[in-house]
Amino acid sequence: MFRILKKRPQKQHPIEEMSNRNLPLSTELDKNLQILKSIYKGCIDVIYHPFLIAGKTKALLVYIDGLSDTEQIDSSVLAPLMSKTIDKSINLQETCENIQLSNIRVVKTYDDCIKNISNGNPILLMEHEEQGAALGLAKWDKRSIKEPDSESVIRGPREGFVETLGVNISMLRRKIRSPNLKMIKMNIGSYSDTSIIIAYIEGIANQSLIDEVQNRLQKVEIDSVLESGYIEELIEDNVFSPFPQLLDTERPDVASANLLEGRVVILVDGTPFVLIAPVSFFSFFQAPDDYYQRYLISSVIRIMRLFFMLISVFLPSLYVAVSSFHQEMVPTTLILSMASLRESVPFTALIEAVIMEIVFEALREAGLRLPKQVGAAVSIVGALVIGQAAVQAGLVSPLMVIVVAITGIASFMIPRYSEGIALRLIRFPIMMLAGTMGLYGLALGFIAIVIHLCKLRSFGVPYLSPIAPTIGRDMKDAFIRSPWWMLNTRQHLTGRINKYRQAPNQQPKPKNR
Amino acid sequence: MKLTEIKRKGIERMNDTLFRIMKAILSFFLVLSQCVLLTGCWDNKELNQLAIIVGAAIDKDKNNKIKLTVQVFLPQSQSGGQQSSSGKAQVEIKSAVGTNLADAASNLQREYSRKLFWGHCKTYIFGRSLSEKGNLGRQIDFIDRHPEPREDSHLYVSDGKASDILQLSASLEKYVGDVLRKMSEMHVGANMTLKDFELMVTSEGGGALLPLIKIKHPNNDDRKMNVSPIIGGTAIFMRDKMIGRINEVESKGLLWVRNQNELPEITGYPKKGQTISLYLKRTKTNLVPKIENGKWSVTINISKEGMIVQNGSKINIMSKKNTKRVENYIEKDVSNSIEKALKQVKDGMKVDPFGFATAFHRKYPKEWEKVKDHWEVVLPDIYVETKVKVHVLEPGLSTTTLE
Repeated sequence: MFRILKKRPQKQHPIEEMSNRNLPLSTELDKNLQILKSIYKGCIDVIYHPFLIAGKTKALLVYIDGLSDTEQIDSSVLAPLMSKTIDKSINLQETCENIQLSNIRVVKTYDDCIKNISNGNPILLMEHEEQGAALGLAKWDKRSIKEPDSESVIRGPREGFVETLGVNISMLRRKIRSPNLKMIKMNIGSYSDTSIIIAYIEGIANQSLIDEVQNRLQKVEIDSVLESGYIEELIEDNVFSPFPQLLDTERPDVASANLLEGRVVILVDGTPFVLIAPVSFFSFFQAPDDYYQRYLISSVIRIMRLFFMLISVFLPSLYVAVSSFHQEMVPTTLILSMASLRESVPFTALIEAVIMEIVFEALREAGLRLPKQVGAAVSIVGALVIGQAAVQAGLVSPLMVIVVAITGIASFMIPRYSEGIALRLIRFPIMMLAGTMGLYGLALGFIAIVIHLCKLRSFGVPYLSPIAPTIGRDMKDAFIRSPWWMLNTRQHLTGRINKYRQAPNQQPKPKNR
Repeated sequence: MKLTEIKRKGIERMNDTLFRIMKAILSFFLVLSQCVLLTGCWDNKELNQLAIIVGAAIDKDKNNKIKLTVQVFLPQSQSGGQQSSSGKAQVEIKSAVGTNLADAASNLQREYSRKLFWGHCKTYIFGRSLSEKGNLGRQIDFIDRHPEPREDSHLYVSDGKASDILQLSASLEKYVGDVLRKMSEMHVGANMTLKDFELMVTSEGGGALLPLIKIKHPNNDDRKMNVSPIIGGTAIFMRDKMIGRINEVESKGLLWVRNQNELPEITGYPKKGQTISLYLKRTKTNLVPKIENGKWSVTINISKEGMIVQNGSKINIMSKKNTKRVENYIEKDVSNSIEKALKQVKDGMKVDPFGFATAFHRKYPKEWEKVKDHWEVVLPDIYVETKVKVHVLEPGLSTTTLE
């Protein structure tokens, strides 16, 4: 079945036909105006501002309202050009010299013009010139930098990426000042024309990885990229796996740390979520806090996370298997109270568990989407429905409520939402297996998951590394977080080109010894 | 030719991703739906379809039949949020007769709407008359062979009818079986699981033992007390036939020789009316068999260490010299109960639950082969020397006794 699924679909045709866009600009200003107006027909936010340079030469300024800095246009462009100090008719280059701006580019075609106008750069066109000037005056309202809600930390920087690509790049650059931080720019989306940046560190990241990322991105032909999730699904290795194969983060420190491990960061304009590739299963269990807190505490918490990951996947199934197949496995006192508590429940353990887990998932989803004021009400109702009322009505046993509660808490211990929700969904088929075949089914489910994880790759890197394949050196940052003076080497599969991160033997010791 | 190729290409185009995904999703749900249909699996047994047995008693009945009495847990519904405040589990006692244990169990099943579940029955009590009849192994085979009963369940022999024990009310615990099991685990009397018993029966010599349960009736003085089961002594087995009983004091001696613990207090009697008690912390037994000039003998080396918990004598136990005296008194008490046990079991019953046979077999395998078949004749003639060494570790938390 899965072999059929693997075949890649045939390439689709480009969606839009370009007519006169690639033509060069005309020397007649009126004709240019006419063509631009025909392209931007029906776009009421485009402003055409004709004016005379020094009262002699006809010129035209085109920009989109709200994308450009109008104050700057007035003071830095229009004011000097329209002043009477210029006494002769001047060409484009001389005009540009008179404009008090640092960022001026020459445009030659209508296509260039459109790109610049759409990006917020006003276009200056002049009579008798077959070139125009794009003025770097893009400015629009943007969100201020805030701590990301989905990845808050106790200790660590409180800044998160924003929707503006330029700001995000600057945040990365502020963390990694070395000129070795390189970026490749691409534009994807025939309508949205979204800027996408592939960031990597030269000398750490593997060149073949960068090529592969670039290759996969170049194959993408889509009308728009509104969020990095669009890209993620179009470039991942196994499209039918529930497990995320790219890490998404809102935090510049996480992105920088991954860059320094030799990974590649993909930034998409218009979203604060950047993508990191390649990643392994354990990347999703590494919270940014782990590296900022003391290593002992981080290690214990990380082991706890992995333990609760197992709980979140297997606890309901274990309950189902034990209470309908393996009653002899539980301590006698517990099985007697379980029998008492389950006495009035009309369903089998499997149905009971599935109902409760689905209700819990529904509550979680409902609480997520609702406005904050209503969300509180939903959680109160949910707590009552799941807890007290369902038990009193004899629908479920109190023990099942405890199981669901522990499972819920456990699944929220996974720091990455994308991985947490994948594991949450996996527990339903495993519950089915446990309800039909008992612990044997549970074991089968576990084996199936492990086989799937072993097969999974993220940009060629095995998903279960450093366990499978076993890379002993990388274990230092998988189950535990070793102290910084032991983290001498980068992850083998991504950073082996530039193996050492720091000087060896940095364990602090008393001076006079 | 060309037309078919065009047709094939058309079909290929139809087999597009969407089609494939739909196919995958469909087949996934088909497989999943099969799982739901399978829920009536042969070994699926919901918790509320079970009658959980928490204790069983096996007695001899008329006409060579077996009477099985079980204690079944009655789950109380907890719906409506009403918690039962009594905390005592409801147990119900029913019995049935059959030609053997399995037959009796299946007859018993006729009285229950739920499947009898043996997986949590950890106490099996055999009636004395059944045990003395012999061939107990044929009944134990059910516990061994049936997949549900546990190998680590405890076996007992009741002094009277076994079913009477189950009728008693349990104090502290929820049912009588649990009381007996916890007492055994605390080393009141012998602590014998099914596995231990089988090991003893199949060992060299074949002497075995099981704890003996008696019913303690309240005296006239304390009528308020409940009728309760106590572990009062030990039943001695030769292979799977019970051949005698010994009392608590002799049991203590027997268990010490076997390197098992009994209750940790020992009391010595320095003079008439005076007592001194030791709380044992460590105890060790070592059997040394010896054959000299065809004469068989065993030395029992027992060392015990403990602290004094009561000094009811005039001895000043703070001095080193007196400590020796105290140790002597206690040693006398220990060897006394061992002597008694040896006299009763070794000389009287001619059975060897002490483990002498195993010790000889290990050290003198060739000689053992010769006496193996008439061990019960050789056993009483074996000379047993008891060497007890008691060491008082500390005199307890006070220095002097009030006068």
